[in-house]
Amino acid sequence: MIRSLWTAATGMQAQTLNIDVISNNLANVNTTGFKRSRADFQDLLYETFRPPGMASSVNTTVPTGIQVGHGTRPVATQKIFLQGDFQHTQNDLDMAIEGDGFFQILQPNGEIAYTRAGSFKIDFEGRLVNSDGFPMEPEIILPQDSTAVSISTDGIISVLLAGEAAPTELGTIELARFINPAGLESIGRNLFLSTGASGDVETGIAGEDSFGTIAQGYLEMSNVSVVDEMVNMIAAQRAYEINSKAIQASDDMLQIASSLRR
Amino acid sequence: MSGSMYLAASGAILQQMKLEILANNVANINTSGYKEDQPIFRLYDNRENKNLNNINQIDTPRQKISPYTPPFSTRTDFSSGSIKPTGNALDLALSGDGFFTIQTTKGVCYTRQGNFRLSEDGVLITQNGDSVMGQKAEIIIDGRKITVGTDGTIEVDGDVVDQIKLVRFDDFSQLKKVNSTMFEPVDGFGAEIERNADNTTVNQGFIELSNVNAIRAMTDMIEALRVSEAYQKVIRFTDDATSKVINSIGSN
Repeated sequence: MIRSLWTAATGMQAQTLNIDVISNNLANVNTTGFKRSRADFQDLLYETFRPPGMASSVNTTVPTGIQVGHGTRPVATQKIFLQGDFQHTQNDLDMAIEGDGFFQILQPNGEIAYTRAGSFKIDFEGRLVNSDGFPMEPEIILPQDSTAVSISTDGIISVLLAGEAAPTELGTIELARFINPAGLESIGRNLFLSTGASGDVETGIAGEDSFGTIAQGYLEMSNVSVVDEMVNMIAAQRAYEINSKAIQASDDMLQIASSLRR
Repeated sequence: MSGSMYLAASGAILQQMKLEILANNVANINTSGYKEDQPIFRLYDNRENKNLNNINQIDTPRQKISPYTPPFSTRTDFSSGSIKPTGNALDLALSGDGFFTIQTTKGVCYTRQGNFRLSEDGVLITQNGDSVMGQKAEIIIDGRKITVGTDGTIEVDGDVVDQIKLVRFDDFSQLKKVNSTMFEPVDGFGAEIERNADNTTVNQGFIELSNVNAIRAMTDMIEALRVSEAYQKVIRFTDDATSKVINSIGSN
């Protein structure tokens, strides 16, 4: 059968994945701390019937060979860790990281996950938790009678206790970072896990050693750009379409061949 | 039997091959750094002393009929694709005719696909995990702020760590495609064909798109289809003529 049927099919499959990734980006356009992904593709194996540069006589070589490719394959969905825009929320427990770093979240299974979504809340024990109720690591507990919470740019949390004039320091938010954040694994719920590809976690204080600083009362919006995604979607859809035309052309050509014998 | 039927068949087979190459191009229409393949057909012409003056003369030496597999080859179009901004520090696009040098497990390969990433040890690698070559060996990036100059100089947190090895070639026919959007030197060529790519600049935060032209791919596909249809007509016509000979003339 004709090879181009399967070659163009790989193109259609690749564009399907491309649209999947774009749709997920667009679906998360309003998700706090979301980082967009991009599908990357590479070409598949080539069948070399005649390599270029092969000798055509004693003194001459063929300038061009015959190589027929077998289509494309997705090779990575890469996360792009560009900074998202800041949204001013005026909420005391909303935090955005300006620069590098992740908040650390202790999951119920005891594993540490990492997030850029800084919309923290207080649970019934006064612990600082994320929207799912998972506590921040290291744990920070706000006393019952605390009134105003202030978070400095280097992550020191202090509260004003009822009846006291001077604020009380409760602890410091520790940030984590990775040499290759693109290698982190997304597990949903705005959380990432470290992997072999991300490198070992390095923790530190906000503002030091090129860690980002913390902005209280702000949230980091998703870094999805709707215009970019729309353009990517148009490109993906047209690529899908032209691959379907290649399949149609292959089908027509086979039809021509099969109708040779009447 | 008539030779024209086999000639037409071999022509139709070539159109099929052409369609296969076009299908590979359109499958890679969104593959960054992909270079389009073009099928080339050459007229197989055995006339001796061919010149324009005697082409219309009746006493032109008789042209030999083409062999059943006409000369056919693929040529890779190495022209640059468009450059798309991504804002990602490890996306590098080349302008000029140079290539990145990649150390793979089976030897040195070259690519224009510059969507690199870091390994867990901070080595600059391709999406496949092969390391990108610096001036001497692989490039290790340990730091946060990565700046790549137009000449490929890599600065990490303000310190120059290495320079990306960019090469170009006198003749693109010294390269052949392997998978993963890479090219390898054809057998018999080694590092001695690499030239210093002074004319090539690196653009950080951009990727080079595929250079496949969708409009031309579409018209080429239509052409391949219609040409094979024409060959089909030739085969049928020959078949009809042969049938006439056998059934009408031969029946008496």
